[in-house]
Amino acid sequence: MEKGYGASVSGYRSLKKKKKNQDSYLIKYYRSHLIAVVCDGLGSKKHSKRASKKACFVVYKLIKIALDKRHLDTERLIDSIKKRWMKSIKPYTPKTSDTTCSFVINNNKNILLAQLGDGMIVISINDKLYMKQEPIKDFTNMTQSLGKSNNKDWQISVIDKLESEHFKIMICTDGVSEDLYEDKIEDFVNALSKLIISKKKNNNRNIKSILKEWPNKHNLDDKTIVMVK
Amino acid sequence: MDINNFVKTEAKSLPIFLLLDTSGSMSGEKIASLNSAVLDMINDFKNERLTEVSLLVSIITFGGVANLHTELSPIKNFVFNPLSAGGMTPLGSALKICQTIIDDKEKVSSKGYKPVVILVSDGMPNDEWRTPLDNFINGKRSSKCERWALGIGADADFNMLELFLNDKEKRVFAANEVLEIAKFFKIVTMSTIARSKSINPNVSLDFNVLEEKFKEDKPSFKF
Repeated sequence: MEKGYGASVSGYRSLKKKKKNQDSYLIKYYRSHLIAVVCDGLGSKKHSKRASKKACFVVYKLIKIALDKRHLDTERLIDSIKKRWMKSIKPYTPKTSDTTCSFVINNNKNILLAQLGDGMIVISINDKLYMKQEPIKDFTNMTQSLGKSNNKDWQISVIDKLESEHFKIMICTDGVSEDLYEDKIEDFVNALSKLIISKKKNNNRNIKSILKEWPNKHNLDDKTIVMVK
Repeated sequence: MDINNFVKTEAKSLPIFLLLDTSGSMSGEKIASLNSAVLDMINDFKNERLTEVSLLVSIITFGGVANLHTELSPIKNFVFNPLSAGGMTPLGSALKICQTIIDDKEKVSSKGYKPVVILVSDGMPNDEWRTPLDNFINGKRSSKCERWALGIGADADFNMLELFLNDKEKRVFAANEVLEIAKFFKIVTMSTIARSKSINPNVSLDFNVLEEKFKEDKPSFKF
């Protein structure tokens, strides 16, 4: 099965304001499944690092429970994510602590993609862009978030896998996705994938160096990429 | 891996639309003052060092006919051609032009910040303006724009301007003297620059705070 790699760096805005990187990500393996979560804490709210970090843990815990039961009801899962997350951010509330949330559950048979709010999930099969999931929105920074969301705000899809196909999955926050040229996404995923050489320890560091060298100096957002290959 | 091949390097856009009444009643001192205020706004925007945001400006006039006076253009290349006044007040047609541009994602990108729309008028519109105004304030994208309104003189249609704002927390700015046109534009300029420098450039700033700040910004002589 594929493995997950990731990195996250503070944007210039966080550095300037001496704030923590508001993005969080988590990659875990459980019962032959890979679970990857990427959350982008809303920069306009003071305690959003807590929001994004807690969301990653809550999503992972609830998926573990579903995998133990061998039963995954996506409606109930996202409903529980919001409820558990609201409790987990206490003493804060979504007024001061909020986040987007994207996650992937991957095994040998299929991939489940779930996304709430900004950012992007890309699936590539045999080096060709197969699917790009991102929110349809009117203007930037007007994102859906866990604190304001309803179940219908999530985009959820499942992709079946064939043994002969090579899958790559990239999940990133909008600090990355909003800067990528539309017609270069496939090339970007392939180029990024080449930096990840199995069994080498510096895979995450290679992703981090790309984020640190990010050429758009006008983009002040924190940046996170998780790559599954 | 050369990251430069995949990543755009420009700042996100923040479009500003000026919907300006250039009907016959604006002639004389009013249009001169409006020209000077718009020019000051453009120059102030040019002089600001904005890192995250790229300001774009468009001017739509309504005097005699509604006209796209200046296409949406980056502030650094913006050339302001002074306005002249004449004719009736076809606001409805001007709103339609503005909404068409805002709805066009090629021109107003969904990866840019929500636009600012500034409406200035000194009289009653006299084309079919109610439906275009209703469409504008309820449109999928145009409803999300930050809107400002200035009524010049006692003959301005303040009810229409309030409908345009469609926000109980906002108020129509009234210019009883031509000097107040400049003040209004200064406040909108300050608001837009403050938005451009803020953590989230989509969040509008409180009008009363800005007005207070405007007073503080006036040069004061210290003894």
